[in-house]
Amino acid sequence: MKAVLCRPKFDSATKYTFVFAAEILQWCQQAGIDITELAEEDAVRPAVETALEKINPDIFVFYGHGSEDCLWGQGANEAAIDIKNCDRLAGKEVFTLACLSAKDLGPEVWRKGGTYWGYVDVFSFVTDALPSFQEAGNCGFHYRFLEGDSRENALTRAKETFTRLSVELVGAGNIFAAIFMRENGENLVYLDAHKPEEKEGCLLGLLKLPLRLRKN
Amino acid sequence: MSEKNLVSDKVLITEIKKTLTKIANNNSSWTLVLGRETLSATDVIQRLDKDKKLRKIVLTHYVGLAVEMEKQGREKRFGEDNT
Repeated sequence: MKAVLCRPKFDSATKYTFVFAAEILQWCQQAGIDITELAEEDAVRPAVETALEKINPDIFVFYGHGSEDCLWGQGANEAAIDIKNCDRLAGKEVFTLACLSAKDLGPEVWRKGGTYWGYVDVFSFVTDALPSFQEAGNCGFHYRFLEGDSRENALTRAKETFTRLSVELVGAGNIFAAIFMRENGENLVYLDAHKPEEKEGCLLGLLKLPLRLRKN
Repeated sequence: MSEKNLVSDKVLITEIKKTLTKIANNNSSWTLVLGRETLSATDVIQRLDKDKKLRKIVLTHYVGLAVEMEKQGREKRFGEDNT
């Protein structure tokens, strides 16, 4: 299995997400996943496009800033991935820790035959609970790609992890971390392009419609 | 939203601000990373008055967490709720 990890680092937020992503890198190396890292100055659009073309990874991982329709490269001057070049993610598993990108970019990747793990709103965290936010942000990768759990189970287990951590944080007197842990968990989605039951369901449903309705 | 609810929200926000004030006094490096923004505890106190989205997130999950803890406590005491 091959993976490409893109992790910009240029401001206070990416300083933390860069560290979170180091665990993904370490897990892949330990598990024998052939991972190529595009960090800091290498986390830019041309390098990402080249890596996706030459390496043709099974998994694309991104940790950094996102908007509804893109994942920002180093310095946030240019998108590393956006609607225009996301066809390069067709057929790949995409795993992100970034704000908002599962809103428009995720569905576009999904339409092109990829899967998309990401967040439909802002991903937030507080600095006095960084290990908990790292655990929450990374756990889905472990469930899916290291333990080999199904996409559905990986998502369910990840959401349970966000809930467990938020309750633990309340117990530890850290209400603010708990609040944003819970918010992140609610914003997490896994857009799954390989759910045959859904695709079949739609097509079969269409074929079963009365002819008059289909013509309309 | 009823007047009663508005008062309850006010009470909750006051309590949350008290926690933030304690944080501000005890941990000056505490930061809320909100997407591209980084806010100190004092910044968050001020934002809670004018940022409706932030206020809603905080109130929703504050109450949601209370419900979650009540649910877990009930299950611990009486077993899993199957209804």
